[in-house]
Amino acid sequence: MKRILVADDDPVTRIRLRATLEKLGHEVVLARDGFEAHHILSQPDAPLLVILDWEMPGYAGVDLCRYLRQLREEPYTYVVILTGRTRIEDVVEAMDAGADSFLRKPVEMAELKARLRPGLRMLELQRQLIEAREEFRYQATHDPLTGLLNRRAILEVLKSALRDPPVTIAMTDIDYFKQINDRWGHDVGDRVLIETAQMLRLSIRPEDFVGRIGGEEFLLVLPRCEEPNGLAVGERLRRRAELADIVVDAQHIPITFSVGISSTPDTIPYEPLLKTADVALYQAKRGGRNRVVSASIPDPPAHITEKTGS
Amino acid sequence: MDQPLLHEPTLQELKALDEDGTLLPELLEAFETDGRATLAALAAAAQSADLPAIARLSHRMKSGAANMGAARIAARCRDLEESARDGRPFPYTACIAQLHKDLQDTLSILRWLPPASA
Repeated sequence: MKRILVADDDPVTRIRLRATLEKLGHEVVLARDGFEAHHILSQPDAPLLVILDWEMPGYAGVDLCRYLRQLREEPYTYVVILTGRTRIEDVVEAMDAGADSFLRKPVEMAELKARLRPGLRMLELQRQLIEAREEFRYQATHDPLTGLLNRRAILEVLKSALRDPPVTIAMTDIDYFKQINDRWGHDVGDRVLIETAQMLRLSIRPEDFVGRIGGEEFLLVLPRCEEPNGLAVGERLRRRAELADIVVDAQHIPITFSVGISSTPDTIPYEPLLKTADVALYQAKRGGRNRVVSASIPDPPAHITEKTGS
Repeated sequence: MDQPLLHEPTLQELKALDEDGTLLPELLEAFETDGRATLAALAAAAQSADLPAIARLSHRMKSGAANMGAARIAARCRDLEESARDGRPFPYTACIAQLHKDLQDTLSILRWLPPASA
């Protein structure tokens, strides 16, 4: 079933087409003239199969067709022009305007079905292609285990965020993750990663981003965020992990985070910022883990400020 | 005009579409209301010799009539449209008066059409 727009200023034609299309199992949207059709076609959820009368007050069918082709390339809208005209010049004019097919008046059921068939086939193929492309896009940008952005995608986000500073990043690592894997097995380790991803997602603002950049390492990008707020976010994460009660197969798995923070008030390349956060994370690990450390650029020598939660 | 009043295959198709008996009354009401309004507009256009308006209005009425199976009205509208488009001398007022009568005759027969199941 498809949503089909029927635009015709003659009410008898409109009603008859509506009844015919509904009998064929489609949902019909009606427009009484070119203005109404123009309004409907301008909406983001406009029907993708349209039957436009050639001659209507407001906008003629061929003008609407030209408008549609300029308005968007995707998703493609299949246009059938409804007309009593049969001269070759008229056919050429409509096709030049971007029409896909013609339907003669008065409309006969058999011809209507035949004219719609290629359109329905094309729209179904388009749906499948867009769906497959979106799936590929998702797979290319997301970590399959946690559903978070993958390394490449979160770094793209960081590059983009750095165009509008200040920006703070928080490199977050699950402490002693290897021991979790060794003691309870990789399935439990995976569940801990999934729970951690969920915890991180719930700990950030809607405008923030989080990605998985390594085995048990996550990167938070906090746009328009200065260092003090970044430190507060890091501390909130650290406490949540400490208080979290991750239960896998009736076993309570304790976790803690080490967090390295770096911040910039300027538009800079992402590499030094990332490097600084990495240095801060190393400091947090070396300082005993379960702590938040902020390092500032320029680096070296890095000016190290430490905040610990233990 | 020796064109038959109605086009039987179109009426059969309309009846076949009218599964619950509501379509034909809806079409008839739209055809009558729009037909009377269009004829009034046509008369005014003929009065002021507005040929583009006559061409546009008769084109639209032709389309509705053909879709309703009103063959004689559709044929008369086609003559009217073509004459007005070409700017030919034509008895516009007399033709529009004849269309009034055709509409009346067509409606009186269509109102008595047996339903699809009959």
